[in-house]
Amino acid sequence: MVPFYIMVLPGLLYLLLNNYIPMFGILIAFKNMNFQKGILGSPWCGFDNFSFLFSSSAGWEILRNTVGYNVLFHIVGTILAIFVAILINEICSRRVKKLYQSLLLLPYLISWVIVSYLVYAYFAADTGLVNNSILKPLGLEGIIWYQEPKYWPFLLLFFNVWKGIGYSMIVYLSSIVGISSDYFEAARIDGAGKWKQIRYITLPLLKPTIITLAILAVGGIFRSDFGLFYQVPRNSGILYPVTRTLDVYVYQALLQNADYGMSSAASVYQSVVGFVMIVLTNAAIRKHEPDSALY
Amino acid sequence: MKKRITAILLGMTFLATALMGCGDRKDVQEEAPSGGNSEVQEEKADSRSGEADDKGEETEGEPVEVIWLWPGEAPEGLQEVEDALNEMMERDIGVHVTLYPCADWANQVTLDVSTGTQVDICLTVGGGVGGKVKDGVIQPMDELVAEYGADIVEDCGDSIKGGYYNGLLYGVPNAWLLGDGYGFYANGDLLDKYGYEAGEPGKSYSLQELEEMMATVKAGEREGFYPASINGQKTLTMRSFFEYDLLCGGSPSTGVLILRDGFDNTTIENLYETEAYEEYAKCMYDWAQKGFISKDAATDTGSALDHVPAGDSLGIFYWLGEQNAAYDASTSAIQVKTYTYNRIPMYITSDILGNILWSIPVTSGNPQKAMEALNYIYKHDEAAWLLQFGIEGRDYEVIEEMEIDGKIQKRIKYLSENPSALPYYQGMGVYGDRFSWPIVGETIDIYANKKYRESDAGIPDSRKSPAMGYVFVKDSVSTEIAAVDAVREQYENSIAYGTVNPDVILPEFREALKKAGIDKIIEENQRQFDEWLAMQK
Repeated sequence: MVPFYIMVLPGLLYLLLNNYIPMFGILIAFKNMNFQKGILGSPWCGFDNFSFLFSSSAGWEILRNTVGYNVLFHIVGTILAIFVAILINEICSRRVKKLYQSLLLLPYLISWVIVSYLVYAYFAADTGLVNNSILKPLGLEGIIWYQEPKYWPFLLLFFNVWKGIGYSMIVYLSSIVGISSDYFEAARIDGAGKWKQIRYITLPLLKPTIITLAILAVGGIFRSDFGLFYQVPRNSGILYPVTRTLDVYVYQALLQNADYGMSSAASVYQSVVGFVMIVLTNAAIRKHEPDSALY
Repeated sequence: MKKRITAILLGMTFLATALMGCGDRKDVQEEAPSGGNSEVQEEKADSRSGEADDKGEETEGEPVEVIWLWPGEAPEGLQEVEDALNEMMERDIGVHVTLYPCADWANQVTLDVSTGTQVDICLTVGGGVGGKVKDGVIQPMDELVAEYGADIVEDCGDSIKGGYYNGLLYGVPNAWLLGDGYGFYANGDLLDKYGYEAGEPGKSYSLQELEEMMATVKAGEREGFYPASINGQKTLTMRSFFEYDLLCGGSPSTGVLILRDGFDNTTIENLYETEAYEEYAKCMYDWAQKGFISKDAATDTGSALDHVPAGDSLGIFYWLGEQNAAYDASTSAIQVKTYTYNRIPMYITSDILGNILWSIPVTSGNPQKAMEALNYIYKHDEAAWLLQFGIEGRDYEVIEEMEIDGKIQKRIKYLSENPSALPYYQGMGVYGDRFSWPIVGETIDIYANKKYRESDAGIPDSRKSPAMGYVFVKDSVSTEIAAVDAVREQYENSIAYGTVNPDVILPEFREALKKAGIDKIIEENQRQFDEWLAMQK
């Protein structure tokens, strides 16, 4: 048994150093940082660093963006991923199946920075593809995309789905493949059409997967994909009301304004709420569907 | 049995590879918890002050290491420059300089101080030292300058006032002009094609004349050509429209003094409510509609300076002396033959005082030696030239030498059409006494440094800001400043690049600024300013 513990040791040490010991830094969120005095010597300032998040309108806007987008992305993403997984499952040729899976997965592997340049090529005001090759031939005026907040919730949803669907589809596909074909045969014998089969067999049997993924998503409800919300809109100021999420704010506060206290406070808030949410949601699920709960 | 052996072997391999990561790099951070770090830091601070009292007691004969921040990515030829510098410094003052290149030099020193890494000399460009003082990153240097910085004081003169914060000296500038003028810096080849000549020396051009020129050139060029390339240059562009003073250590968030209508104005205002700004905003929107500036200027993250040699643009707004000059391709910022058209003649503001400052961080190993090293490059111009231009024969060659006013004035030429391809290139002009630097390139007059000094001294008092030497202490309004900064980040680009109609967005912007508390900041600034003015009488 001992060799196995030795094997685990490096990973465990790393986990300890990287994940647990830095938790000490939570103190920074409650202090007025002065580097000369160090973390322990700096004066306490209570909840002052959190005030921006709760007292300013920008603070609520940021929270609304973060939570709102997460909920939207998760719901739409799940529906589309299941839909695509079912479709792929229906394909007979194994070669074609693998081809489609790879093509769908490709966007997931591209970095957001590169995607942001692709988006820029499409949506730039003067040279972009959309303005020049789609809108102008139709006789419509070109739109300055990066300066109009109203289009961005849809654009961001589209980009997020485009990028993530390949990955989430795989999870559902593996669950669907695991469903015993006996059920489907029985259903076919009883005369059920494709849609009925999906509705009464596939979806109910996917429920555990959906619930598990939902709980995990709830835990990350205050986190957001930094690449999507910072790189793709090219940090355009006027879009902040619809594109600035908590992670983008933390980055700006830390690197552009060198405000360690406020960015730590935002991070702590994210983590604490995420933790509480996971525990609560899991407890709720455990009551109704004990098999699907995380722990 | 086999399984056990395999498991043990695997375990050992994992442990070994994990430990491989631990190296002996100069800047490796201790893996101890941050709490431990700060304790070590406090101990260091105590022992350091002890050292300073003993007048830097170091081992006999061994040079003291001074870590000097070098702004930019490390060039290949850095080591030779460092060695050449050390040859001089080790011999004369017993200091061994280690140049510390940082790509993100603006923020690196804050990170280093927070982990206790030794950095002896750091650089701040723009905004003054207030931020670093508040975070406890740098230390006061009054006594150090008084005792070891005699040449700095002599070369810098009045400009050293910009390094003060709350009564103590925290940074020293490089010695250069106090005055700046601004104008249009354009592609000479393109202008020749349309029959335009270089800007007349001493003349300031009106907006109309510039617009005419831009319209003519635009009409003759292809679709997608925008005469003025301004992406990322909103400050320089605004500077070319009207005179204003941001006050040392301030920013548009803390209020400005509008000097366009009179240099005796002592009322600090919210820049975004002024008439001057409104006119500028309307002009930018107008230019965007007319096609003088690109509609993508707000989102183009490339450098505005690259659009001109690429043929997309006629010129940029840039720093210009009163004297319009023509530049050749190797010395021009836009890498093509350049004609300049002055818009705002030279004037002196107090915000330039806090512009380039060298400071000593709290994690310095030996502040006294750091100051000596800094002073050395003001005293010995050749040392400053090493850091600024590289090695003679490898990076540049001397093509002319003349004695002017008892000092040797050199003219040099970079040994490459593209100076950034040289083994050593420092684009930021931050080292030493700039008036003693060699002239770069073949077109500028060899008497230029002397002329610059005279023209700077010749700036009439009527074009000097009334706030010279005043520094705004921002500590009490720092939350409001952060909030106002956030509002500006959101709106400013859209107005400055003319993408949204100012009639629509300017009222919204002003409303948001008021909500963020800009009036409170300006009140505080005005109060401190009035106090300072009263003391000057």
